[in-house]
Amino acid sequence: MTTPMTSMERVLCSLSHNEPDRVPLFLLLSLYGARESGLSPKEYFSKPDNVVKYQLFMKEKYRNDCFYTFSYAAAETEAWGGEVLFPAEGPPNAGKPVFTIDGIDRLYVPDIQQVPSLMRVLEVTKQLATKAKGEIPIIGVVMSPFSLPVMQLGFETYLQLLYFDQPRFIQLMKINKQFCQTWANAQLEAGATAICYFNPLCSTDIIEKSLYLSTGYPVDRATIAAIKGPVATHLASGRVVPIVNEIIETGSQILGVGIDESVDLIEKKTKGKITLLGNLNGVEMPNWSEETASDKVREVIQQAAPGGGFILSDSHGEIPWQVPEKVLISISDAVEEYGYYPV
Amino acid sequence: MSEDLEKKQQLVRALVSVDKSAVSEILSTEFTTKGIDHVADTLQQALEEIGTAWENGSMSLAQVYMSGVISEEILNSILPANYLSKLTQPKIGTAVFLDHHNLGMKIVSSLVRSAGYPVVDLGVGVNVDNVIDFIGKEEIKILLISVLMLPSALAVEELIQEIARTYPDVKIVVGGAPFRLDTNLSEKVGAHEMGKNAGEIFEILSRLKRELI
Repeated sequence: MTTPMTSMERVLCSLSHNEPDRVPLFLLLSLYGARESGLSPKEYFSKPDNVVKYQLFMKEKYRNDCFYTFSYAAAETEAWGGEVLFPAEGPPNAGKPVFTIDGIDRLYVPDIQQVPSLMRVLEVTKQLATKAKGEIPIIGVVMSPFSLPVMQLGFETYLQLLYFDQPRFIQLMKINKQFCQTWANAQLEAGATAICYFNPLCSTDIIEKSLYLSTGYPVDRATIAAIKGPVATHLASGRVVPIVNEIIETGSQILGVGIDESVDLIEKKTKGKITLLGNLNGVEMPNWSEETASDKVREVIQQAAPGGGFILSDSHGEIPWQVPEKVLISISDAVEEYGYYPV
Repeated sequence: MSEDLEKKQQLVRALVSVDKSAVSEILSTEFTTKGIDHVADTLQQALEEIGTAWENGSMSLAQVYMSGVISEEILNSILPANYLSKLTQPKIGTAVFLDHHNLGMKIVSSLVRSAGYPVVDLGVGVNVDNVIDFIGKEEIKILLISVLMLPSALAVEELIQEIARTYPDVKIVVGGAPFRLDTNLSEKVGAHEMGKNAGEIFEILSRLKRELI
């Protein structure tokens, strides 16, 4: 009997477009740790020890193949002086926009050492790296320079900037790019294995391709090139097919896919060029029965896993608080049942 | 292609290209030659087409948003004084429930205003009490609720139950990513209608208006 692969070996094998012992499972459990701990999201994320303890706990409980150091997207806006709103049982939200379009003229790159929420993530990463001993991938997260302004300026104001004020858009991208690459590389230095680069705005669901190619795409290419480790581009449920070749050309090694497109179709378009991550419907998961969870896992594995180059995950980049434990356990059980190669 | 269809296609192209002067020229010409009702009809059809195109992936949310904003702006500049107050459309209220992301609601508000409906916006991050007070004070007949986050979508159930107790005749339309990604969710929370995209709002309002009569 062969020895099972470690999570790291399994993932690296899949990234090289070969078949590992079984399909890797990335349950992206961030906020869910707060639910497991019984603490409020605010309390939970306030101490790195909480996050480390429950990352380790959830890795075992759900037979997960990664640690996920992501806290909440709005943590990055704290670097710019933004407020974070903490609900009792849901993801923290960015508060009011942090600056106006005029304010871009006076903007500078924040020092991450001065941002407690980011320093806590680095501490979590360091502690998990010690525990992982190189056998478990640690996934860090950044917001792309092109998508971050939704929280910095507000969505409407950002669209006005994008369409009508190119000089200030370019200035903001220059600052955000510097911040993003510094933040990503700090996480890699702390022990992260790869960076999940959240970029929902590059989806043609949000910005038309022609506009993206002339605005955000050059920024994304340059930023990803400056990140000193593997990058997973994630569109947080947005459609990827119309820009999949451009994403591949950024050098991203992994692509998060949503539910509006067939993973089978994307797999055919990208075979051998990028590893797919997805695409269980996280929004539906709270209502899934154990049987439904199992059926969904089997279906996605059969469509996308043959030949490797596939990691099973959710479609959005985070498991919602409301998903019952039994559903997550059923997902893990189904991976054990249907995920061993040959699938 | 009929002249009206050709005009609508020109308008769609101008809107999604964010070409304000072209939109203004098309609508002003239509107003001069065919009157304001024709302008409203043409605009509504164009915005419906753009909304549907977003749903099938051929246009972006940014284009839908800019189309709504430009339409509202241009229409306001050419509408006769007191035109809206003479219309007998039911009063529509909009609210972003618990969440703080208002782009979706802004898009729908712009579209609905462009079609001549009176719209009052309650704002973002509102709770059950805020909405109940708002419905009573503004005499809202149709309430459009937008959410982005799943917990907010689930909490809409409690809101709808409270509205049903206090103002049973008010019609409720929900929209936002959680409802689009889980198509059973709107029924679960008890909404009368769910809009998958902004362009669907006109058809939904037509149905609800028939129920209100």
